[in-house]
Amino acid sequence: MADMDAHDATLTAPFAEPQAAKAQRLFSALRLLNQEQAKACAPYANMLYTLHPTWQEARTLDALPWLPVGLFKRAKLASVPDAEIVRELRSSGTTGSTPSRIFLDRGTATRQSRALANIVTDFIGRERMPMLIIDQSDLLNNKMALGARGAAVLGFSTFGRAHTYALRPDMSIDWEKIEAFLTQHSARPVLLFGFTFVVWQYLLEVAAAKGRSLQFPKGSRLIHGGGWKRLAERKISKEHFKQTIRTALGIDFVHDYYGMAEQVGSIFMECEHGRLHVPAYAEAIVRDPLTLHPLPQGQVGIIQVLSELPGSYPGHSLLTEDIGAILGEDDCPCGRLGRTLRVDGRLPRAELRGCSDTRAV
Amino acid sequence: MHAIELLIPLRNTEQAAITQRLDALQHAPLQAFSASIQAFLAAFADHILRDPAMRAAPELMALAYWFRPAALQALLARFQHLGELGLLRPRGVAFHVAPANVDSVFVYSWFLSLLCGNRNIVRLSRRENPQRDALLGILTELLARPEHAAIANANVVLAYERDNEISTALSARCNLRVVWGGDATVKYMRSLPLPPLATELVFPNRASWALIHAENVNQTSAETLTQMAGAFYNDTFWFAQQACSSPRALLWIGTPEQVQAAQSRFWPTVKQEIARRNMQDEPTQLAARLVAAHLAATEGGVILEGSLTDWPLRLSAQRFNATMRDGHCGYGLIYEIQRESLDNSISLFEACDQTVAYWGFEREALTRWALMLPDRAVDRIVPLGQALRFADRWDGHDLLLAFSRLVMIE
Repeated sequence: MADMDAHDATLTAPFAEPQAAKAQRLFSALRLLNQEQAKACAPYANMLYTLHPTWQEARTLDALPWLPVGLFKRAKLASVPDAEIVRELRSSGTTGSTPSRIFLDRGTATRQSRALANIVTDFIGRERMPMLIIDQSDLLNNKMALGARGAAVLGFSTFGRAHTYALRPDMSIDWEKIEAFLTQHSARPVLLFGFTFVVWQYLLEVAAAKGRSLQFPKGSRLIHGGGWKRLAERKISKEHFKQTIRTALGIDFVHDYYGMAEQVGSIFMECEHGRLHVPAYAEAIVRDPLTLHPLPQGQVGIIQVLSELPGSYPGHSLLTEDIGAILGEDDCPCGRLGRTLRVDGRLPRAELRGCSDTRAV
Repeated sequence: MHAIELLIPLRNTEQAAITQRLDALQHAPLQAFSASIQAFLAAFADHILRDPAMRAAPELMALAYWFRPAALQALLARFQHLGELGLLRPRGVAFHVAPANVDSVFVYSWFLSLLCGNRNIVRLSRRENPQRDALLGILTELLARPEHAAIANANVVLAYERDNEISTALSARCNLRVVWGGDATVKYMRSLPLPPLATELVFPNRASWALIHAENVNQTSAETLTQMAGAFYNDTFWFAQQACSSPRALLWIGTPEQVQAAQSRFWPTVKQEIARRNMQDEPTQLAARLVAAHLAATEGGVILEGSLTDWPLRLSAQRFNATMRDGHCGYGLIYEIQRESLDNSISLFEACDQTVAYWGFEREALTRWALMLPDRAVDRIVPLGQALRFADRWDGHDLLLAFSRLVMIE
């Protein structure tokens, strides 16, 4: 697999490289990954030669081949022997559908956690804050086959200390535990982490219904991710979400992030200007939803994500089913370099009209 | 146990009332093709065919057309002809399990069974959609009329969440169980016991083909070609290529050169037909096709014809294999296979293959070919353009016979 140690400089400074230099470097890394994966994963090679016949002629990032992200729900794709797999990630993406299965070897898992650490500390600093996890306390009981939420909590836990779960196994709020946490850590900022819909549905809505609000120490932060689908269904805007966090929890710093089980580590974090930042290990390309031609900045289309982190499965270039737009390059007022992105949601789920079983009978 | 929701004859959720309705079915005998049944079906067809709002629902229009009086007369003639085999009597109570996602299939099964004089319990899935709601609205209104009281008393449409206990209880009431759905539904329903004297008809997953004679495409006029492309379009694109009888593989018969020439005439004409009808691809459908195509390509052995973003998306293959069949999503994905002759194509067909929609072949050639096909493969061989047309002979069964009991008087 690619020698990732050579990229230590970019690993420790994920937003310091200007877009042009980054695109050049990333292109070389991903082209190498294509060749390595094609050698190591026969199904991947078959797909490239059949459906992306010009894959070896690519000279730019947007000409590199991709796989549709939904493929990982239907095919088991790994490029290392079973014995080298240390973790299997599962994500369902959409409620009720078949989960994706992603196989990580040690190298990939390590690169993912280092990348994640560098990205997150760039936003919240290196000091480990007391951490309140907005999820059920028994989430991590099965570490070999982690769900998307479990994997995210496990990954983000390293950025905090004194980890406390805010919800009981039945997803009800554990008020005593939260209050004890607040009493113990009242002087300095704390870190909250949770899935967007869990934070909304199981913390904010329940607290509002009970007429309870909480006051977290000044400077505390909330990191949340996992997508807006369920909140969009309830017509909850991003602004309303943030405003509610401010009034109900007293938290001013809220960071959404965009990431997926198929590309753990190279997440896109939201800065104080509301833009999602593409880190040095990754790239985002927005494509026309029907022609798949790359779209210029500002135009809404399907998001393709590229990441140099995966080594144990051919998931370094994925066409997602998410919709969004590139907001800019090297020009965010927050000073971070690289592309910035907005994610608007997901393509509507395809309607099944056949005579046979629907996927969930 | 989940709650049952009664939908027909009148929406009701009171469990005791529903049980009463079901009990009453035992005492509501009908005669096959009776005047009251025919009057009800005629009223149903008339209602839909006259409603301009229904024009937007071609499946419902086709359904109404199928049960209009002239069509009933043709069915009656066939029923009388079958009567030469013996006296045809109803089976009794038929329990129909409808597929979750084709809005009209349950009505064909139910009404044919009704025509044969059966009383019916129809189970719908919980999934609601505008077409289903429109259908139920019309049926409720018609069955509330006094002239259709006998029909209302003999038919129950209900919905419930998947529930062993309810399905077992309903199965215990029936003399004939009819299961439409996928393999999983059929397998599941088969695990639930039937009364010893009851029988069962099942309609599991099937796959379908188009079969085209390449040289005849090369020789035909532009006008005929346009008609043929329109027929192919209807078969393939209605129901989003997701019905059992929607062609998903296209078998070309001819030499490689003949087939190549035919393809270069045929596909541009199909594209013109798509354009003429103002049909648009959709991002969600493209996304689904991309997954299916990549899945098929994992095993190699396919060739991309044109571009990945083409609609329809064409892949040449040597066989229509299990990965292609299982992974097919509909939405305009065609596997193209070439064989020199019909005889050389026999081994391509499998038990789950149902419909072959053909163009450019004589009936005799097709008959010889059908006799050589594997045991269970292929139940319908119909002209291109008729793949989706429901018929009273389906999946190898004559439904008029299957919904009846043969009484021998000697």
